[in-house]
Amino acid sequence: MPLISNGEVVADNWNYLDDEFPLPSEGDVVLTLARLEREQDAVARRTGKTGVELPNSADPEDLSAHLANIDLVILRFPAFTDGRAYSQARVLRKRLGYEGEIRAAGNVLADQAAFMIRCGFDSFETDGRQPPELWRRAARAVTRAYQRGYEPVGGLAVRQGTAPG
Amino acid sequence: MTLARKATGPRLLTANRLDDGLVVFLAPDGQWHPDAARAAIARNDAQAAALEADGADAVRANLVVGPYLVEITEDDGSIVPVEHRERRRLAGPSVSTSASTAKALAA
Amino acid sequence: MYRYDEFDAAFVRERVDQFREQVGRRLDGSLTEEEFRPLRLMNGLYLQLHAYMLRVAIPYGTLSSRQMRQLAGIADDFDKGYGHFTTRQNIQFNWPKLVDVPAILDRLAEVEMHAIQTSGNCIRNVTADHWAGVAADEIEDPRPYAELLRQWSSLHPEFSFLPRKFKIAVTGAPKDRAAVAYHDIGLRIVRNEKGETGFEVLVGGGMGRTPMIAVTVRNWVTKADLLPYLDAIMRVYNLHGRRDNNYKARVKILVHELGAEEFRRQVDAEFAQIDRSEIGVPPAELERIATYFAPPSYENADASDLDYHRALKTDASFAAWAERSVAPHRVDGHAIVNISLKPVGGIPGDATSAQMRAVADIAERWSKDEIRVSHEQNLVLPQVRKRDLFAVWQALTSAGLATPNIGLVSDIISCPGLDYCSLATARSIPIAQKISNRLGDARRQKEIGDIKIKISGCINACGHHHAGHIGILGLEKRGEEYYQITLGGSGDEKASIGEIIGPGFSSETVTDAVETIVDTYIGLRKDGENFLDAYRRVGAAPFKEAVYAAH
Repeated sequence: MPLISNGEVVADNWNYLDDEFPLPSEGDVVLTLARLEREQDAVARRTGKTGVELPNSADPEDLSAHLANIDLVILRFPAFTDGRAYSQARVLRKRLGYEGEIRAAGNVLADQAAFMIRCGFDSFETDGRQPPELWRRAARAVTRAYQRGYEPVGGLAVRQGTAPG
Repeated sequence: MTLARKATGPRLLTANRLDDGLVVFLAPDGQWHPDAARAAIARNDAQAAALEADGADAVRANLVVGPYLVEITEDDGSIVPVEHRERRRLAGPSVSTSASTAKALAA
Repeated sequence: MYRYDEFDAAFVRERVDQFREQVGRRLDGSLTEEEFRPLRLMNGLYLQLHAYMLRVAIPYGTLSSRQMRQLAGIADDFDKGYGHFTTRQNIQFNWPKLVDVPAILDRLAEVEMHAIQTSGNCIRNVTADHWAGVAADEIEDPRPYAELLRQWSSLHPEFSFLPRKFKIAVTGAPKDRAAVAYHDIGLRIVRNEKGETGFEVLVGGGMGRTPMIAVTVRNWVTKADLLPYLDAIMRVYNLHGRRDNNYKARVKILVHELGAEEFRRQVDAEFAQIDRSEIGVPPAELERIATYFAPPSYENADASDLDYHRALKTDASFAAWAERSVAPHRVDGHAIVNISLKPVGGIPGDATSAQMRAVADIAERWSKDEIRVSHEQNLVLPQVRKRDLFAVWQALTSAGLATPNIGLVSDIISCPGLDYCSLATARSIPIAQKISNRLGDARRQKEIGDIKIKISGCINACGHHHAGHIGILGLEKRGEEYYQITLGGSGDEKASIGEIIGPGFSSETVTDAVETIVDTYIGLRKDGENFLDAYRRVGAAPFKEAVYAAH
């Protein structure tokens, strides 16, 4: 499952912790939302990075109390046609001010790279069928956009007023 | 497109051609034809399954889209689908824009 | 009308290039049909019963003659010489080949047109009053806002994969010709006590299996807040709209299940969090868009009506046409001309390439190069001088476009139905033809008066039958088509959903039933009231009785 970020395959050094496994105080781990909530004090004391999987149907607000301790949020696309995660990412970035990594997992396609990046995604868990080159091309395929206030993408001009800028 | 109840009668396999969208039928020679009269007819479940497998191959080969079985009757040697929708699909549009416009010009 | 600048042209160009690449990857198999289908839907390309269908966007129903000619050329070069104007002010081509679609999109891009987002679970063509900018009763022209929303909704990064399709309509007049109450979001331009204009925002209207009239979520939203407020609505829908059941996925279901109060509360809570300065349109940008819709220069009216009035007296055919087709324009000496695409016994909404070219020529010469498409599948020439009306009528007559039936019983709205559509359960066009032929005599039509018959070939209601004064829904049982009749629907500012009157009719008897309904109305009407008013006064009972006693 190659992890892609900035158009390149990057190493995935996270430890996806099974719920029965004890929570290590060091090292980078990914937890379920339920576990994060149950062990939030222990999580806050950890020295390693902590990531969380937010279910597709969950309210991103559920993370607001924990965001200070979180370095990665994984959002899910059950099908690439299920666009709820775009809004989850948007709420995390804009309303909750989250500045850590947001990753897309599930049915993730390069054709939506530009949309995902503008909503705040940084990395993409892919199935390997679409090479990094395709991801780079897809992220650059759109150089003009009309929607103000979304994350900038290199090479993307957004309509602001009399001159595009 | 699946049948509401399991078909038991003779069936043919239909699909839409990928490049032009036109309705086609799988013939015994493995080619896809717009003419239902040339379609291969499956007369039992095993034959039907074989047609479906050929359809799946054609999808993978990027020839057709969405193949499915259509139950038919063979009245006087002509192929008539059992389901209303399939009868209409086989027949093509029952209305004509050029005829409609000709009427308007004559009015 | 809006003209693309370099930014807009580059945007469409990129979309065409992107789709061309996606078509290539589909044809070589690197994209499966499951992966390609949502992408082709976002470019308006359906796979229908007999072929692909391409739905081209006509933004809020406005066209120039150059664009109309290009559509005619596409019909000739890539299709079978005709197109179909739809109930959302778009045009459909029924026979394009997938391999040709990139070339068709190139042709469209040449004239600042495209097929973006005319399908799929995204925001669709924003529709508006087809008399925008020229209607005598208009408060303010809705087109600049329709254009603003068109841009804002195009390839929206957050809202392109909604639970279901999303339709927005805008009206700038108290008389609602855009049916805003039947849309997911309906916008009405209103004036406050200070004389400022802003928007009443309605949410949750729709047709389909569960027709609903939209609720007013906000009585007043300022122009500056329009995009932020819509942003809030879309986010609430995108997060909370149902995705478990396609028939329960429209925003109308969310509004219904939460209740209007709770829905409003959630939207307001979201709106309160939005950085309006970031999301909202900069005033200079709104002004830039609005300048494209500044009224053209109109010549002085003076005595230019004389020729028109003389012709009305001397030519009975012209007078009959003018009575139905000419509507009041806000500027003296000018008129709005409505072109019927409903020849008696013909296919509602279809036009041949020759007819499209004729309309283009007429518009260029006599309507300041402007054409509109109405959601009732007719065309409009919005800027005709009264003294040119006779010449316009003669030119329309030569092209078979002067049927004098606008708003009458043979001005039927019909979806393509099972003759074309893979979703349909029954044919709709032949029923429209039968009814039109049965009741199409000039005197009969005049006697019946204003009435809207709307026909859908399946429960998806693309023929808008719920909003028909007489609505007809085509269904199928045991291999036979049958038709259910509803009465009393309306899409105007007093929107209502038609009521089913009883068991359905065969394709042989439905015309008889409609004739009985119309005759019943004539028998009981008072003081010249039209069909809808009579129905609202007496209810369904007299009609049910007459129809089911006779049949």
